[in-house]
Amino acid sequence: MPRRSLLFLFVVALVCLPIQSAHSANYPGYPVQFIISFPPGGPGDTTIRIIHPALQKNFGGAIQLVNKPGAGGAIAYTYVKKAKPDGYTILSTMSAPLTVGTALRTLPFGLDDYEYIGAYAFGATGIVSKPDMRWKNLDGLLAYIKKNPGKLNYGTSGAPTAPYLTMAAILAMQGLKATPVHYKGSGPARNAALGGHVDFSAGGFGAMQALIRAGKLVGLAITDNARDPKFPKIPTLKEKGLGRASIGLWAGLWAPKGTPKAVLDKLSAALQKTAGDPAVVKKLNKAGFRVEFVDGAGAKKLARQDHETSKEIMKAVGIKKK
Amino acid sequence: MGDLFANLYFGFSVSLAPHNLLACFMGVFVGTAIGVLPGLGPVATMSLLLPITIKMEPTAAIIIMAGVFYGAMYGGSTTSILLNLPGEASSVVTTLDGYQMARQGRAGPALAICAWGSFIAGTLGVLGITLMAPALAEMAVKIGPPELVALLCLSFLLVVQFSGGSRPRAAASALLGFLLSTIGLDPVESTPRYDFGTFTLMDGVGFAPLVIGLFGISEVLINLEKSEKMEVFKGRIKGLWPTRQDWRDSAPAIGRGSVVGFFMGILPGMGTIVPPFLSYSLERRISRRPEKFGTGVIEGVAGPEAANNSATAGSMIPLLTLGIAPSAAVAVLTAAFLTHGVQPGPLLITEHPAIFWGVVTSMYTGNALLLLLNLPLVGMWARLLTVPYRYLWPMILLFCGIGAYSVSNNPVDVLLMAAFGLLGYMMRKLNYPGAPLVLAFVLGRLFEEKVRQSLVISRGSYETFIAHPLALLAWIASAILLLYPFFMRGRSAPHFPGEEEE
Repeated sequence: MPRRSLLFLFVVALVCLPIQSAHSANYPGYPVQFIISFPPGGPGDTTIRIIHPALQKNFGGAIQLVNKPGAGGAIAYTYVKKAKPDGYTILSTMSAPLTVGTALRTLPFGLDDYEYIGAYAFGATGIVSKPDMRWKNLDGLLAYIKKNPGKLNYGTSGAPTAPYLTMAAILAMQGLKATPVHYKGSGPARNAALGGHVDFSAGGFGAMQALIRAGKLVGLAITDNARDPKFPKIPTLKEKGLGRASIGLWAGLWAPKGTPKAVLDKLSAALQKTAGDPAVVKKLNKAGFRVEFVDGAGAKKLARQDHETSKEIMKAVGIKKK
Repeated sequence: MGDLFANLYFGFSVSLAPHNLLACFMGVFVGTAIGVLPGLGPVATMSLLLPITIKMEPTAAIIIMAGVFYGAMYGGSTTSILLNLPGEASSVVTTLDGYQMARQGRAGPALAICAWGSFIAGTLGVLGITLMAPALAEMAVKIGPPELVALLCLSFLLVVQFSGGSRPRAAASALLGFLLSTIGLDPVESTPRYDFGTFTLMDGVGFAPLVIGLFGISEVLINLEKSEKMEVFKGRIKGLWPTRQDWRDSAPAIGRGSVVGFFMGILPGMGTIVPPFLSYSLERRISRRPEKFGTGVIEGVAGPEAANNSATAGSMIPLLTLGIAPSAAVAVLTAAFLTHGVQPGPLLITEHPAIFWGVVTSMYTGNALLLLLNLPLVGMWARLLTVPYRYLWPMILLFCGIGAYSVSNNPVDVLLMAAFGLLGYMMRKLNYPGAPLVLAFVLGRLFEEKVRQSLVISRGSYETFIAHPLALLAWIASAILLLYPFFMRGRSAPHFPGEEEE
């Protein structure tokens, strides 16, 4: 009998252990799980893997990266929404499923279901075409479409993605017509432009950089707020007066609603410090991202803004929520 | 040419440095191991290794990851031959003749020819990368949706011929595969189909749960039904090494498999799964004894195993020269480059020559290491058959479960695996072949996507499918393939007694 009660005590202790350490001052008491909504190798996976060693050091605790890909990120978002808000389950991903996804679809999660820890890596939508097309820049392209309404095809990174919404918005704002051909991701969309199967393509800028640098593709415009220092010749949509078509694509950290503020602050501080690490910045730049730390409140504002822009674009282009 | 040798010399000086050589060995060792374990695949393993390799030097890290990728193709054949369950999705075809060989006590020669075939094909593939990578990558990009549609049709027709048994049953199985491939978001407009409102099915049925369930679980179920002694033991192990006749039969098959695999590997979406199917049907087509296929002919093992290996080399080409990932495994490799701050693409060779040539030459070394690693294991694996099945099957089930789960860390995938296990069991009981289902499933998704993209681009005109020379060529080849049997019949071609009975 004593043996059994000892076992019972042990089990009770095991069960209580996580709860206790979560509320104690020495958070993290055991490894924190970061849920990634992309498969290994996806854009939101690469960013967190690049910062992972430095972030772990600055955080002062073990961080486990767990990929839960699927349904355009919805599986991971739902998983974290339902997780215990004890600081041991954190969502590490790109903003798009939350900002664009919830505009396009009815999903069981929304902007207000999470605590925002911060944003650290900013991607852009890039519009590219082959160098030997009849246009040399965005103005040229738009003028050509105007003269040849409905004749051109453009590749997109997929129907429910920000690059498609952005391109559709540009065309709608100018009263132009071109046909979208949806591919599965930015890579295939870029390849379609490279192989001449479509006339131009809109997709994640990161995926296009290697080919732009090699002179095999021309970058016509990007959506970010400022020009990319590595590609000073590529103008932003904002400069072209098309800023309203821009939807942010950024990587950040989220926690389930109700996570203690001390936990959020600790993670946010670690993230801020990591984003200031020159070695990390260099690697993220190489992978195609601009690095800037935005705190939780700022990230929430960005998310709201991207969500509203997506809804406006859908209205202007005539895309219905599914 | 002088340049090439200078580059190769430089590359070997990098890849033969002790730490890189060690990395290469670790990579191929892990690759072989996970290849042998049913369920665990290279994609899952490479993603697990990614965080470990991040602390290493980039060249070594990428050498390890690449080693896992092509090393898995060596190990994948082992359980296909011994236990009739594919260690890797790319080794599904190897079960057809490999397992029969094992039942006849010829597991040794089958395993050995796999190692040799993989080595030869792997080396030829790397030679292909060395000599013509940039030119081939440019060509691959030129192949657009309409050409792919034609090529997919040709592939499918080629493969439909291969499954021995009853044609209508193979067709029914393929149809089921096509239907399964329509589950999930449609590939163009992203409209959910047949997902019953669940997220898990929104992405469609996972490939890993399907293959593991259909082949792994159903095999275990079938075997548990039998008496304690497994059928494999009936034969006595007759020699471990291929005979001279075996070599004469396999050598041309390995050559053809290497070529088929290499070029198919470059194409987007084909991966390492389709090439072995194509190689098998090709061998059966041109064989002087097609009726024997499926009863344990060695070229039916050698060709496909060569094809999946050279396909890994082929699929590295778009990555190294254009930064394009044609398959999931290569996408993880891309991530390995990026996490180390290296951008794979056209500038890789000039900006990071040590990485480019180091990785390419490490693949020569890696293939040689794999041969050295796998040949001595042949004897050991062959003896695995003497382990009582009651000890084996719980292990197999465990690894199948891990394999299905680890792809996307989703428990529902394990349930799906179990469901497909039951389906596979019923299909075997009723004599429906599983391979056409898998192939149709893979090709179906790509086919729908490419047909629809073609039609959007052409504004709905079907002419686009024959407007491109390559597509036209593929259609003509398909037509010949379809009509070929009629011509042969007319000219009273040599008939094989087995063929009539089919």
